[in-house]
This record gives sequence, structure tokens and C-alpha cells, in this order.
Amino acid sequence: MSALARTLRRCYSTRLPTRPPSRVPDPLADVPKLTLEDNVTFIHRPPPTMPSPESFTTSPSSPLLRPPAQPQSTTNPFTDPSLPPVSRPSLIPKKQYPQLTDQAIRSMRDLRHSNPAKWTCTKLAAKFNCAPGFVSLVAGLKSGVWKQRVRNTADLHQRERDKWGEKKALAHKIRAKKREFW
Amino acid sequence: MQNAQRRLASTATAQKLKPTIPLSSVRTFPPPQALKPKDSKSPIFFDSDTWAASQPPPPAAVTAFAHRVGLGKLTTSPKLIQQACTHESITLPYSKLHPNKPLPLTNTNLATLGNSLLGLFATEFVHASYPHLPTRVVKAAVSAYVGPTTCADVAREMGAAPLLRWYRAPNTLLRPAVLHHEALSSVSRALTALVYQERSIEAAKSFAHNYFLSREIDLRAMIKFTNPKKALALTVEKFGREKPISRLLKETGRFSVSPVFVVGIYSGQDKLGEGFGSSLSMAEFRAAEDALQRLYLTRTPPDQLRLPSQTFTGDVFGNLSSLKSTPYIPGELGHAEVNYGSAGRSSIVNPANRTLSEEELEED
Repeated sequence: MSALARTLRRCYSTRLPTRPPSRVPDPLADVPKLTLEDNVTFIHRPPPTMPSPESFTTSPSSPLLRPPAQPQSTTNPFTDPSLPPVSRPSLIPKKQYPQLTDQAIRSMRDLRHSNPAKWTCTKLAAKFNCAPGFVSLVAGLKSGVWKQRVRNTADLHQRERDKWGEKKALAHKIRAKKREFW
Repeated sequence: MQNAQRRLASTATAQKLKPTIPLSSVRTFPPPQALKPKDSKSPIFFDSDTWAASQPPPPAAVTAFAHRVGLGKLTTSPKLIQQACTHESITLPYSKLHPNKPLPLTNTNLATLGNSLLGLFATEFVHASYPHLPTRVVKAAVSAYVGPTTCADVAREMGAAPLLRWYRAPNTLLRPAVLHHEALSSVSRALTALVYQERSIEAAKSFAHNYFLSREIDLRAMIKFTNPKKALALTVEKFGREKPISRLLKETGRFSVSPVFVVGIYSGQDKLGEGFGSSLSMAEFRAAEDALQRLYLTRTPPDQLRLPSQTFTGDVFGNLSSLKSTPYIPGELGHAEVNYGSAGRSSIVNPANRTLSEEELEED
């Protein structure tokens, strides 16, 4: 080997030749045990994520039928560190909107009913500084008008879906079928 | 090929349903209607299957059936049991075959009475066992316990199928076709009514509990949701608790081909339900379902079950029964379900909703 090669080579190994033993925590460490007669120990180990199928009126498994664990706390539930994190952080409301006056609500309703195509919920929410969901709740269209708009949108979407190729359509159907089995 | 198989199957069932009459129970054989008189030249219209169907079952078989079912000491003669096994569809062919004989007693009235009794016992049992169950699920459970298919199955298990006297009447303008399971279901209902008529309502109740309400049904499969998250949010609001928030408990393989998410749905500090899934929305869906199922499927412990019919002491004639009744302690009233998804007044408009013009008129 040349002198340069000797200087460039490594003199230590970076990988263990054998796999180290896996360190698995003892599953029987924090588990309720009961010592019965004849030195027999009864160990109760239910699966950790399995909900209880039995729920009796004397000891209901639903917390709704029991008094609440703690009174309503003042801490923000979305940022409470004692609880697990929220599954969808994008759904945490980012800002608090001010309460609208009755006159504002009435004018919002008039605009929406006069021209629903122009005055959409998002546009009205931006104009009146409120949540878009609030607009559809308060200034909702009449059932017949709303249903017609929904049908028009559905037809438009179906026309777009008809332009899809086989693979895309199949993937869409598979996803819809999976949703049936949730 | 398929049509041939279907025809074969239908003829096979028809063969099975063909009545078999032991000759020892028939007074005159061959029947006089089947024999052509020597002088007459006109043809005879005689259907042997209809004749066989119209024959009463042998009394020994009826008595054996009564004893098997536990009603051996109910009556001295097998006539009442025979009546319970006779469907009204037999009256038309019977009157044609035996024009001079009186029509046989049928089980129509008994079946109607038995149906009402079974409905009563099943409804109170389901409602008392599961006080928080939604109405549509209670109805489904009652159908599963004492519905037409179950009544037919119970009658078949008892062994009433060979004793049933019926006729496969075709579709007419006034009433639909009579099917075998329809005729069979009338037998078990009629027997319940017989027990009530000959003994007491408590005896009928224990008969119903032993034969119908001891069967296992899967209530979990009857509870279905289209939007469980919305239903749970409204339910939690009704209970006056904090808004439900889904929280991620465990996850693995988020950007891989097989992710697993375990999501719990919390109201404040309380975990209402837990669910797993291959996507976050699936896990949240299942968690909301689990939360509602925990609420709906809360049952009264069987040893503490007290039914309102316990207070019906006495028989049809108002005579108090000799059995001492335990004091009746009513069970807890369940919380009524929310309107959303309840299939109750879904198509009815709330009269309190007023239009914009009406409000404007009121202001002016």
C-alpha cells in the first residue's frame, strides 16, 4: 500500500460486527399483581389500546355518564401540556373573531340571499371579519336554493371526474370503498 | 345454467315442504273426492298435495310437540295446539275440498295477540337493559328478538314445521302471497298467546324470555353512523361538557405505505373514546364511534334488571297470582339521543324557523 493510502485509511471500525441485544422493557414491571393461595400470582394484563366492551350502568365506561374528572379549567385545551397533542394542529382556531352586531348579521344575510354566486361565505367572512363557518350558520340559504347550488356543483365535479383516466378513477373508487369500511 | 339451478332449488324446497301424512291418522283412504264414480263421465279435479295439506296432523304428533315445548300440561286435548299450528291460508282450499265440513279453527287472532305480547316483552327488556340506546336501534333490536324471521326460526327449532297447516296462496289484488316463513312465524306467536290465555301473563312472559329473549343478538352491528363526529359533538353539548377534541395518542409510519394512528377523543380531561386507523380521519371517525358506543351500550347488570311487567300480577280474569312479587324499583331513565341522525323528524320543518320577510314585517 502507498504512503498516501496508508494515511487516508481509517484505523477504527464504525459498525459493530454483531447486532447488540435489543433492550425491551419488562412488560410485567408496572402491572397489577395479586398473590393468591398456594403462592400463585394473578397478573392482569389487558391490551393497552383496547377499549372495554363491558359498560354497566353501575360503572359506566363512558365519562359522559360519570361526573367530569376536573371542573372546566381555564387553560387553553389546544395547548394544555398535560394532555396528548391535538391530532390536527391545522384545525386549531388561530384567531378570535369579534362578535357581530344584529345589523351586520342582517346585512350579511341580505347580501347572501340576493346573490349567492357573488357573495360567497368566504367573501362575506372577509368583509365582516368573522369565521366562514359562522356565515353559513347564520346567513344560510333556503333548503331549495342551497340544494340546487349543491347539485350544480356536484354536476360540475362529475363532469371533471369523467375526464379522468382509468388509473385515477380506480384509485378514487378504492379510497371511497375503504371509507365504507371505517 | 343459473336459471336451471334456480329452478332445481325451488323444486327441491317444494319437495321438502310437501306434507307427508301417516295413513293411520286418515279416516278413509283413498279419499272419496279422488275416486271417479262409475257412472260419471266428467273428469275429476283433485290435487293430492292440497288434500294432504288440508289434513290435520296426527294427534299423537301434536301431543308430542306440546310436551317437547313444555306445554304438555297446558290443555287436556291437543285441539288448542292444533289451532295454533293452523294458518288461515288453509281455509280456502279446505272449503273447496270439504264443502260440507266446518272450517278448521285458525291461529290468526292468537298470532295477533301473541305478536303484541312479544313486542311488549321485548321492548321493555331492551329498553330496561340499555337505557341510553337510541330509538332506531331499540326498534332494530326488538325486530331481531321477536321479528318475523326470528319467530319463524323459533317455530322451526321447536319442531312445528311438520305440524304447520298452510297453503301457498298466490298473489292477489287484495293481499300478497303467503310465504312459508310467514305461516311458520304465526305458530310461535300463537303459542305465546295460548300460554297467556290458559295461564297468566307471567307465564307468557317467562315463555317469551326462555324462547325469544335468551337469544344472542349483536347490538354493536346495529349502531351505524354517517357522521359520528358531528353526532358526538351534539351529544357532548347536550350533556353540558366541553367540546370534544381529537388528540393523537400514538402513531407510526406516518409517511409510509402503512401508517397506524391511535387517536383519542377528549372532552376536557376525560377520554370519551379511542380509535385506530391508517389515516388520521379514519382514526378520528372510529374514536367518535367508540365514544358513542360506550354511551349507547351501557347496560343494566342482568341481576339488577327490573321490568315494568313485573307489576302485572294476576291473570286475564283479574285473579291475583299465588306468586309473591318482589317490590318494583324502576330503573334509571336514559338520556334521550340528539335529533341529528336519529331518523325521527328528519323531514319535518321546525315551525320556529322564521323567514327573513317575516322578521322584517315584525320589525316594521
